[in-house]
Amino acid sequence: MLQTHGPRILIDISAPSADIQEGKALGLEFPEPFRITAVIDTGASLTVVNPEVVEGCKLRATGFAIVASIERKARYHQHAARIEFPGTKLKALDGIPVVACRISQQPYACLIGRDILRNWLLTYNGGGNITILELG
Amino acid sequence: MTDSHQNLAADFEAFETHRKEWAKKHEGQFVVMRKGEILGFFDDYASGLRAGIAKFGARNEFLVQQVSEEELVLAIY
Repeated sequence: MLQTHGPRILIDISAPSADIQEGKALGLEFPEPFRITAVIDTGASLTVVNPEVVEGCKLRATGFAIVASIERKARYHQHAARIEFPGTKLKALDGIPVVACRISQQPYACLIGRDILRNWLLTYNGGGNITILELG
Repeated sequence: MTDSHQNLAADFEAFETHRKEWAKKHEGQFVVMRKGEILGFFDDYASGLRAGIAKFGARNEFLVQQVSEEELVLAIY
């Protein structure tokens, strides 16, 4: 399974809590967090999310990032997000940048990049599964 | 959010004109700005984001951009 699908993890993604708190006080509405499958990608220097998820979760745009992939190199919007890891003891990340970029022809909507992995000790057991421990 | 991304793009253009100058003192930090008004430089993205929301409000877009002398090309493979 690991070889076929890669190391996957469920995530709940939403707008950062500061945005939701301030926004709700102004009468803005935010959807419940989206639960999606992410793949852990040590080849990605940053975390990438499909634009449909970014739009659906109402993640605010905060800047730009140039991303180079096998297919192309282009500048994309960066957005602010909160990411939780349901079913694990991993700490939620509240107010992290994600890049809105289409992940084509893959069965997942998010790549967890090295910006998040820098906080983890990841063990990839090719015959079994993955284990993740938080550093520090 | 009521702003279009045009304001964000304009702030990014302003950021680009100051990039090298800011990098001398603020390399690695995150600048927060809106319509040319600089809120400050922050050590991490989350702090800049919170400060921007507190200052500019949840309805408004603002730039939170990491300062580096050259624009980084981020890879996904």
